[in-house]
Order: sequence, then structure tokens, then C-alpha cells
Amino acid sequence: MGICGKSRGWRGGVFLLPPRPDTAEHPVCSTRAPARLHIPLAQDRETAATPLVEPGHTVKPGTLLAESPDGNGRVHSPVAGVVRGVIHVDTPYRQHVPAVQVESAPPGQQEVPAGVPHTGDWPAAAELVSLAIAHGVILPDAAAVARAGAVNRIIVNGMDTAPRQTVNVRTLADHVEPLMLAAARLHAALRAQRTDVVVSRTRPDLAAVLRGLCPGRPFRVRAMMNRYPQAHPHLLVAALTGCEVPIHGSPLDCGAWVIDAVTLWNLYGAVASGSPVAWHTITLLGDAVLTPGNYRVPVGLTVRQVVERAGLAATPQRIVAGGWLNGVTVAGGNVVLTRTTRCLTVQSRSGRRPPPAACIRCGACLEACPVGLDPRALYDRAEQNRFDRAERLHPRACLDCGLCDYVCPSSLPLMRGVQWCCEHVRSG
Amino acid sequence: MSDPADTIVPSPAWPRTCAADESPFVTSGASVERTCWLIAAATLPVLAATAWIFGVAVLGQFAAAVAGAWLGERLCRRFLVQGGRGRLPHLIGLGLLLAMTLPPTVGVLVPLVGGFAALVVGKTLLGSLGNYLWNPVLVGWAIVSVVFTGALRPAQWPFLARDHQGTGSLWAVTGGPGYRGFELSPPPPGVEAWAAPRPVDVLVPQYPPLFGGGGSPRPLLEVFRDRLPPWSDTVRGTVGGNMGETCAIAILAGGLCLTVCRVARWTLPVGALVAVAALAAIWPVQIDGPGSPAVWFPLSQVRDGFPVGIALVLFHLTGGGLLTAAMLIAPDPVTTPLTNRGHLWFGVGLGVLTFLFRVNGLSLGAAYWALLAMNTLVPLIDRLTRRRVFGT
Repeated sequence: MGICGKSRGWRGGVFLLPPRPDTAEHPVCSTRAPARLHIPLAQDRETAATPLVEPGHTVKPGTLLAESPDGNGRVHSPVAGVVRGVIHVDTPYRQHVPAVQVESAPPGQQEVPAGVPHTGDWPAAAELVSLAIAHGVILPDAAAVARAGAVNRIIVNGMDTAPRQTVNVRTLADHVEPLMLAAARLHAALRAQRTDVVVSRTRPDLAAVLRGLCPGRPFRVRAMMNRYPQAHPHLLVAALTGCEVPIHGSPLDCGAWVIDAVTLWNLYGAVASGSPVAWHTITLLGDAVLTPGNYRVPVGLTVRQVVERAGLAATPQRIVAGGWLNGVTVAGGNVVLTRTTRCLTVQSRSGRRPPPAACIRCGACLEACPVGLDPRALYDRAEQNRFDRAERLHPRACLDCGLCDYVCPSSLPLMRGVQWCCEHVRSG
Repeated sequence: MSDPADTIVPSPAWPRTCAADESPFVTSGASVERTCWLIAAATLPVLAATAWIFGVAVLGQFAAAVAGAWLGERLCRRFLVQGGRGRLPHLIGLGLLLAMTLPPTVGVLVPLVGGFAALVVGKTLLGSLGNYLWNPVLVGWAIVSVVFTGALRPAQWPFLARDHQGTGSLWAVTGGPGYRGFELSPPPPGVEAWAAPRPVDVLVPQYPPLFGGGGSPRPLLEVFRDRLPPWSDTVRGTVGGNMGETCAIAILAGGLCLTVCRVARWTLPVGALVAVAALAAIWPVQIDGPGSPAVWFPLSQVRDGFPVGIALVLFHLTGGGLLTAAMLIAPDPVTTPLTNRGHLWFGVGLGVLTFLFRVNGLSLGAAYWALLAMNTLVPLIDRLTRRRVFGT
């Protein structure tokens, strides 16, 4: 760490305050499935998958409910029960998303899928990727990884991308042994040269446990300064390999493949015991939550169902899905969470930012930006509709970390300006 | 941890809809108001030092400058522009900084007009907060230095003598060779203030002017022994000078506050001070009086066991308006570059220009004119110090 905040690979970023309360202190709390679930058929903003079940069908945990036209997106049932139909729900990211409504069987009739430990070697890259897709594991750059020899270096990310989210670190801490076994198997399957397991330097105990498992295994444990947004894959690659991911590229252009601990755990479940991804872990935060922490919940719960698992301390006024710096607000308790939502903050107050003022050219956004953008210039271009002059400022390098908004003394919506420029540069 | 779903908790009601805001949902606490208040607050150490060195009465001039800025603000609000954040702390900071650039005997009219001009011309007419190119404090100062030429160049620069600090009168003053340093010189009866030249005014004639004319060098040793107080007096502030220029400790304290609160960046003053020190160390100066050749690299020169070169550099750093300009006036974020690297170049430019102006015979306000010149170059510096975008 230099005095100007410079570290190897990238500049900028901000040290955010350590989480209080620290939701990583307690193991992930598993919960039971509610009587009725609405399993959304689109996770983010992509096209929805086509349902494969009819009303009245009986499903078991892991039954395939829907498949996307290209065969890459698969949705599985988290519970045993009966399909009631396909309705439309709102997710934090999109409105009117088709969802399969499943009425779950009583707790006594829920068969728990048997987790048979698979001790053999993992299949080679192409087969591994198709196995992952078949079980609904969303692998980053799946198509490119399937090519033999594409991955030179595997980076297992044990840090979380959002400031107070602790899903990755807690998953890693809860399943140290199987995850390290999975890392070793993955290393062999992808024929990687190196594997790094990355944890935050603020969690020395976890790093020590991981280091204890290193001897005889092909990976190294790296404890890194968690200067936000260090956990972003591009910045991890920059810090560990010194290679800058090209603007339109992915970490694989540097020969590195970043897989976070949750995805590795899902992959391990798919390969080792053949169980598809139908449950996900979510960090619940905020003053309106009685017991903040990490909860393992079935896919297809509404915000209200999720929050009531942790107890509600006060009437929620603002619910944020995703990080505090770049997440989105949720309209109400009936919004259905997708499994890409890893952090949910429920607040009893909705503190509003002061209205935007003129930029005072303090330069804080430029110094904080991890990729060296000029957010205020891009915001100006967006405001004046001069998108033709935005392209040479490279708006598409933006990582959507939201730091420019966070540091701006004039409360300007800088990230939105950069995103506008991005969209216009892309379409024009 | 037991399953909380097992325990029945009386749950508060769910609203029909929740707030639909945009990110970020947490901020760093930085705001325009905070920045402006901090810039105003950074002048407090200097205000305290000024009251001690020049008497409490000079605080009236600070008040007059703030009042002038306030009048200007009222006028602008009425006839020119409405809205904008941080107007009150900005006008307070503007007034206080403007008064710091004026002599202690200037009276209340000059700061009143200066504060008014700074706000109306320097701030509002040149584009309001966020858009002006030149520091409004210095625009106000430039206007009054043209309008009130004589008032800004008084015949003598008084400050209070021992035992009269804070309360004495600047008009019960005596000048000349009586003053030999603050600790050494108790005032004669009936005298409450000493008059001594600004150190930089004494040093400037030592340099052969760049464009001919002027310059009446004396032997440097004589200058330091007989005409200037000890250097420690410039640190303490008990020398002649403008109100906010003399006390280096107070200026450093204010500047340090701004740096710690991340309003100012340390690269700017460091660049400026290093540039001035480096130039003062190497620039040729006539050390041995009239007729003697100008000596390059004066830093190494020693006369009669007295390190005249080192003294020369030190007086350049603290004997004029450089510290005030670099640490308190320059940090206005609107008129400085955007990046740390830009601040460094801005500071170096400020130092180089200040020194060149001094060498060329301009002693009063050299740093302020240099700062105005560097303000003009900010768009260019921004263009040259743009960061490379990751992955290009």
C-alpha cells in the first residue's frame, strides 16, 4: 500500500469501514421452505427460460422446472411438492417475470437429496462445464472455459463484492475442507498452472485455517487488502497477475479464471453429489432485521418470506437488493428474489441524499475510480447528450462499483451518467 | 444458531410500497457544505495568530470582509442567481481568506470592497461555485490592489511588540533599527508596536532583475544580521507582512487540517515549497553587495561563519505570501486540477512562478499572481495529467 492508495495492479478504491455487526461471525443459518414458492425463470435481465412442467405435476427437490432456449439456463425445484401454474412476478431487477408456482409438501414428506461424497477425479473441462450447466450452476465465461487449456490460473474468490455482504467468506468458512478439495480437483480438471485462494486480510483466522490445508495441495492462499472493490474479478486478476483485463474482454484474456466460493460450492455439489442449484445463500442486513446474518433459502422466496426468517424489528421503509453502493431498491415485500441476489438490506428509515449540486471539481471521483475513468466528464457528456464525445473516455471500462457516487460531495448521480454513456456507446 | 423461523416474533407491519431510491445508499459524508466549512475553519488558527500578533482590533477587518461578501451574496441572490449549495460557508471562507491577504493597517473599507468584489465578480459573474476559473479570493484581492494601490502598499508594516500582544495599538509604532528580533527587543516606553519590512521585500533587491533595471543589493550577511529579524520570528509570525502571511505555524496548522480532512492534497504545497526552495538554492544572487558577481548555487555559501545560503532559502519559504497561497488559498477545489499528479504540477508551477516574480522585482503578492496564473493553466494541466483507463 502506497501513501496514495496505490497497490499492485490498480489504483483508486476506498477502504470502507469493517462490517458492524459482522454477519460472517456465525455460520450460515439454514431455513425451511415455506408452503408456497414462486421460482422465477429469469435470474437477471436475460430472457426467461421455458417452463417444462404443467400445473398438477408433482416435483421433487432437483426436478428440472424450466430450460432456456439455448440450454444454458436451467431452473430446478428446491422442494418436493405440486406445481400450481406459471404466474408473473416482479424481481428486484425486472418486472413481470414468469415464475413457476410450487406448493411444497409438508416438512415430513420432504426428501433430502442424498449427498454421496464423490472422491474421484473431476471430468475434463468440456465435460465439467456441461455438467455444471445441466445442474444450473452459472459459471463465468462457461463457453471459453470449456476449451481445453484456456485456463492458466484459477482464482478462488473468498471475498465479497459488496461492502457488508459476507456470503462468500461465510461459505468458505463453513465448508473449508470440501471447498479446498474442490479447488484441488478443479485445478487438475482444468489443467491450470496455478490456483490462488483469495481471502480478505481482515480475516486472518480463515486465512490460517486455509493455509493449514495447503501442504500437498496445488494452491496458495493469498490474504489481500480488502480495498473496495478489490473483490471484482478484473481487479483480482490485476492484483494477482499484474495483467489488465482489456475493456471488452474477460479475465480469461489474461489466462485467469475467477470463480467465487459460492459458485465453487455449487459446482462441488453438482459434481460430487449430483445436486442441482435450487437453494442460495443471502446476507440479510439492516436495522429492520432482528438477527442479521447469512441465511440459506430456497430459490423463489419473496422478500417478505426471506426477511421474516431473520425476524423483522421495525417496519421496513427501504429495501436494497445488492450492494450499498450499487444495488437497487425493491418496491415491496412481494418482490421475488432471484438466486443472483446475494445481499438484502432492510432499513427502517429511508435517508435521502441531498439534491445534486454543481460539481466543485474536487476530483474525488477520479481518485476513487478503480479503473481510472473521469466520471464527472462522462456525466457531463451524458447530461449534454454529447455521447459522440464520450467514446474516447472509455465508459465501458466501468465496473459499476458505485464509488464515484459514494465519494461525490455534490451528490451527483455519476454512475448513472457513466452507464448512459456506456449504453449509447454500445448501441451507437 | 437456532432456526429463527421456529420462534414466533410479533412482526411489525409491512408497508404497501417501500422507498424507490437510487444507489448509493451510503455515502462517504463528503458534501459541498462540509468542504466550504472546512476551508473557512482552516483560517481559524491564522485568525487566532493574527489577533495575537496584530491586536484584536484587526479582527474587525476580517468581519468587514465577510460583511462585504455577505452584501455581495444578497445582491447576487436578488438580481443574478438563485440556488446553489454551501453559499454561507463559502462566503465566510471567501471573506476571511481575502482579509488575510491585506495589510493590518488597511482599515475596514478595503476588505469590505474586496469581499464584495470577490463574491460578485470573482464568484458569481465568473460562473458561480463550480465554474469559475480563477480563485475568487484572488480576483477580489487583484481588484482592491488596483483600486486601493496605496492602501495595500503601506510605508511600514507594524506588528505588536512584546508585552502588548493582542491588546496593543498598531499606531503606537516605531521603526528602524531598534527591532533585532522578538525575544531580544523589549519596546521603549510609549511604543507598543514595531515596524519592520516584509522579509521578502528585503531579499528581492538582491537579485539582478531578469529584464534589467532595479535592484540595489547589499551584502547578504549585513541583510541577515542588521535588516532582518531571526528566521524563527517568521515562523512565529512576529515580522512585518499581510495579516494572514506572517505566522507560518498557524498557516501550517490550517493547511494540515485541510489535508487531513481530505479537502486539500499534500502534493500541492509540497510541490510549491520544494520548487521555491530548489530555485532559491541555485538561483544566482549578489551575495557580497554592489559590484560583486552574482553567485550561482548560493545554498552552499557561508560568510563569517553564517550560512547565508540556507538563511536565504528559509526566508523565501516563510517570509512572504507563499505559504498562505499554497496551503490556504489554493485548496479551493474549483480552481485546482483534478488528480494528485495535477496538484503536484500545479504546486511546482506555483512555486516556480512565485520565485520568478520575486526575482524579477515583484515582492508584494508574487505568490498570489502566480496562483492566478496557475489557475488559468488548470484546464491544460487536467488534460495533460489524465489517468490512463484500465485495460486500454
